[in-house]
Amino acid sequence: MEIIKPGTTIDFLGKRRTFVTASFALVLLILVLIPLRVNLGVDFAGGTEIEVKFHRAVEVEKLRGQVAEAGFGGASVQQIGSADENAFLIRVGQVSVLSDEDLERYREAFARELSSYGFVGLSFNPSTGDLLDLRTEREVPEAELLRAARAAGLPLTQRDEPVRNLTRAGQPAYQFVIQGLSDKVSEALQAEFGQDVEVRRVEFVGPQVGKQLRNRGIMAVLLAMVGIVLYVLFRFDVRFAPGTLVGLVHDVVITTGYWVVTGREFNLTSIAVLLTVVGYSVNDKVVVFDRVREVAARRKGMSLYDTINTAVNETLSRTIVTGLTTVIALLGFLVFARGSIFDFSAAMILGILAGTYSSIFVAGPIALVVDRWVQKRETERKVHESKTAQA
Amino acid sequence: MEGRFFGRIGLVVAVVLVAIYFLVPTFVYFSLPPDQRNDKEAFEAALPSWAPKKRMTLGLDLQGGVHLVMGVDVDKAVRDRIERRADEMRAWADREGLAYASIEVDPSRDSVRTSFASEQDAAAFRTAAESYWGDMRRLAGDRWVFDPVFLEQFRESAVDQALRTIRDRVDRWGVTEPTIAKRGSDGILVQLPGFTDPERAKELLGKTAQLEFRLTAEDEANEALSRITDLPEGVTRGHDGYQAYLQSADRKLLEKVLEGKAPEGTRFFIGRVEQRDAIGVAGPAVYRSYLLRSKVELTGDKLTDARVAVEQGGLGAGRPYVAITFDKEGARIFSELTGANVGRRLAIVLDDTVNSAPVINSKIPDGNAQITLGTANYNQALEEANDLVLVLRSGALPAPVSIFEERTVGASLGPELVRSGSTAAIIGLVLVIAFMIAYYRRQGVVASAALLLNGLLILAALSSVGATLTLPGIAGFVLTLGMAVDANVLISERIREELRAGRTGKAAIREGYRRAFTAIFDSNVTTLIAAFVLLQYGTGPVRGFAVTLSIGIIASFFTAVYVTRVINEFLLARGAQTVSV
Repeated sequence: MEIIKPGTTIDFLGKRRTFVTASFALVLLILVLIPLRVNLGVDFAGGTEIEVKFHRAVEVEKLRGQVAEAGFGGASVQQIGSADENAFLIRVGQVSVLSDEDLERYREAFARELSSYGFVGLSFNPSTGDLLDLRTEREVPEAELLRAARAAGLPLTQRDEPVRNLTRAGQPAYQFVIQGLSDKVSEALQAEFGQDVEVRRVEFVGPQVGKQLRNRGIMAVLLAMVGIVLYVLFRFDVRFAPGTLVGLVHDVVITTGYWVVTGREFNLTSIAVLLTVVGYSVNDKVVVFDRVREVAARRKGMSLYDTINTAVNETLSRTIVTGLTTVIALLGFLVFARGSIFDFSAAMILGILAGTYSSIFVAGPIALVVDRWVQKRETERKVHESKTAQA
Repeated sequence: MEGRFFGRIGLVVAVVLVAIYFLVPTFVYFSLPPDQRNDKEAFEAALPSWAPKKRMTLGLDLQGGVHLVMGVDVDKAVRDRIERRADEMRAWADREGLAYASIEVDPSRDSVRTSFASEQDAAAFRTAAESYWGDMRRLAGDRWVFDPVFLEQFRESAVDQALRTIRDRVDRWGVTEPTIAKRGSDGILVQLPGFTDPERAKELLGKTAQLEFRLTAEDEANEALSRITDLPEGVTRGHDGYQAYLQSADRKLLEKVLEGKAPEGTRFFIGRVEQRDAIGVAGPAVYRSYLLRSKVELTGDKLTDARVAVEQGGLGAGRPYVAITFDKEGARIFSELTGANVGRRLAIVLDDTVNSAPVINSKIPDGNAQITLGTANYNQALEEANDLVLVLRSGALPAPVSIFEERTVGASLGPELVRSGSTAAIIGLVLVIAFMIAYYRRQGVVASAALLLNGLLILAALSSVGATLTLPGIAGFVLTLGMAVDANVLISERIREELRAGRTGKAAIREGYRRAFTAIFDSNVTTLIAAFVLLQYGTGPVRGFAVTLSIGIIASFFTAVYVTRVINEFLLARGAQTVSV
């Protein structure tokens, strides 16, 4: 069986303007849309995500209302899997059950209740949503602390030790443990659905960690690109490095287009997809450039235009077949997986298709353009030199 | 030729056998019913004695459990320490009769400012303080800051303290195969497989460590233990020269035996016995009982510092010990306590676990005590001293911890993901093999055999290092197989080209392999670069994916290039005249 007949000679470079322009336009469009449309998941934006499953039919709208009623109006509720699974993903952007206004209210109440102990301050522990720090001038007995908390209406945890004594070196300091956000959501759902609801997964990422992960993710993708381009520089010709790099950026941006179009969550797994696409894409282009190197050695005197065209044609069958087998391998996940692994597979397939396309239509033309530009500069320099010599 | 040829086949067969050997524990593990898998004894009983011990484990996303990253508030610990140092300086100036105008923590909270009534006192304080507090430096205007080197050590030790506290607590719950490790400069990663109550975990791990000093109850212990006549298997008796105790490797069992057996006014506690062999390597954990008085004599918040020091002169010169300092009130209580109980033992209890029970040698009036260690071996004594300092500081100078990251997977989700993940993987694999055979005919069959071997090698490698299998790991496995086929695609395409160029079957195969090699090599190296970056960056499931990808690429050099070539040569030697691609 053959997909590409032997001896195929398609003039890919001749149509380079059309393909390169179309690619550039698409890449630019996606780049513009990334900040507007990419939906950062809790991994990068911070926040809480809860996956629940119901043992009876529940409508998204009803669930959304329930979550809003529990005090999370801004939460997003998505159905996952097929409709009869009754599984949902609830995402709350905030980290704590308390808003700033709540905190202000509690602060006033504590100042009033604990005035005889010299109230100093009440503040959020910035890295986590379920701890409140209290400072006073004089030590406060535990019973008094609990009384004040009740009077203020603080949603303390139901577990033991809702207040911790952190007094050190004679400086009174206490910490209240308030109800965790996921606890509050599941409590509200249990009140409504009883035994029919099951909390299957909870993810919480603090805002600081989110920022850290995001920066490291960007760094990782850039680092991989730089490393690979350096390898191409070292193993091949300087002229091939720009083609590889442009192809890489093209493939990574097109892959990101998956999240732009679908609005699905961009998370840690997405970074893994991008890095794999980087690896795959270069893999593909290296094979083409390896053939360019070989053709050039075989047929001395052939123009670069023809050399690249020959190499792309000779490797065309392999480029397509490898892309195909990799896509085929992932098809099972498109059918059977859901949630983040579905996104993983779908985006990966898009990335592989982009990589296959750019190996044929983008990398070669760029190498040619770079080569012509270098030659033009070279001739100009020579002309310039000869002119100066004449003068 | 013949001999070398059989040698090659022998190598391939040997690799397959070794791979199967390493897969045995993983196979045994997954053939156990799910509820018995994490039972160490059941697993070891089912495992043949000749098999390796390491096996693949299911990641938290596939078996359910809690993943937490706790952040240690190191800055707060540093500020607390500065405040305490100011207290110590005031107390010391008082004692030395130096009249200070003020010794206060600077508003920036990173230094202590001192000012004295007379320049004479100020100078006296400076000279004395510089030699007394070697970990501080004096800046202009009598501002005292911690030396950066000490500060760095202190920050590190604040994280170590928190790590130790968390490890002890997890140890006590009996969670199977927990992961507790430092992450970054101030984070602690805690993974509890099978533990599905995150709120409970967060609360227990976030609690401040409680340090207590309690007197031992020797006579009561001897009497109470003599009354326990029937010991279950695994619990043995011992005597430490002061009191009798029970000992067992199973903490829960020990607690059960002792339940309700403590005489009035006393309570049984558990301590960990460090068992070391002749060269000082720590053995498996063993627990022993201590009978202590119910009354808490002193708590950790009265302690201002604990550090390792080395004896300067005398008989024990050069021996490490632990120096502890109490605050004013603590010093008073400690003086009375030690005065009334010379010759008895005072147990150091952190979070209800006894660390040690040193003997009170004499009355300690000034709040500066020394704890000498029983071990004669210098390195061991130093290790014990460091550990004791961590325990004391955990109770005295706790660095608050908070939750940076939490991921919990319920018990029911995991099996469902394993099912759908493996179904998807098998479908992907079957489709790839079907395509390869349809497209490349006999070369497709050869490539598929290599592909299956590649899969086997990946699984064996993961199993032999005890890797964790995650859902992205499964997807990565399949993706890797899809990409590993690339080498065979390159070779097969090359063989087709050579055949078209008019070469015979044998020559076409030889040239196909030779010419495809540079492309295979270069393309695999670039993918490896991406995989290694991912390995550096990734955590948890993503890391599992990167590991699979790297192993798969390396394995494909062997399977797709070497093994298929051996098979092809074998087929040609068997008299196959044509090459079918």
